Amino acid sequence: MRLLLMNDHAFHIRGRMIPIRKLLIQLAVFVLVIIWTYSGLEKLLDWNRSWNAFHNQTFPSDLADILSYVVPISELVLALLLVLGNTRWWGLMGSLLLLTVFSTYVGLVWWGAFPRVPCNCAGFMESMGWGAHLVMNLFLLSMAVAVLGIGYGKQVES
Amino acid sequence: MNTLIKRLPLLAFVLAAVFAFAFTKPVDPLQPQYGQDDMGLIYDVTNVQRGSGPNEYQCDITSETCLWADIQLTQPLSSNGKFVPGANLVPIN
Repeated sequence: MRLLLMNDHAFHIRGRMIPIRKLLIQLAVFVLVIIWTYSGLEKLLDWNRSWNAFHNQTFPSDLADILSYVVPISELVLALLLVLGNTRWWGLMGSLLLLTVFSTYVGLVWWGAFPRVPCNCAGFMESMGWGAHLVMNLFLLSMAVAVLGIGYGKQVES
Repeated sequence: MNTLIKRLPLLAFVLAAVFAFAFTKPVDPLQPQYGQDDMGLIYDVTNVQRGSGPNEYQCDITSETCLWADIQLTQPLSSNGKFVPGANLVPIN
């Protein structure tokens, strides 16, 4: 495949121009969809482990009861919003919001703001420490901000 | 190529769904679970929920093993956790 960079704004592949901006947006959305879909489905498929993981966290049991349902459903809803072109902007805004909430909680745990530090012993994050988890969340958050920042407006690119 | 780029999010959704179904192994609810506290006392927590209540238990982050599959504590179930029993849980030894 011959790849030529043309005028700093597009790749030229097999005679077609592929705008860099569009490609970067799609790649960022690709990553976010993978994360939300896998994470949401994993929580629903391994319900017992997910339930226990939420109840092992530092927030009250009543809140854990609610979050056990709300978090995986929200993740899957965000994934669907990102997949559909007409709702992608809302998916990005929702991702920004959810990632901010997650990053704040993970950051507080990592910083030692709570009396105890729960283990990360559930899900595909099992092998990650809280520090690595925070770095990953901040990276995804930065990516969502960057995509919105480079001009992904409400006008959909379908 | 433009079509492929446009379909990337849908491809991501399908791939992630396939991997989730393929690699998620639900925990057997009948799997025996045991924990050992700081005093060396062993607790049977097979049907005990995690939480902060007196009849529940928690796993705090450490390099130890929180849960074991057998009472002899030879088969770890989860890593990186210290078993912390609730006040009302009764040890079996």
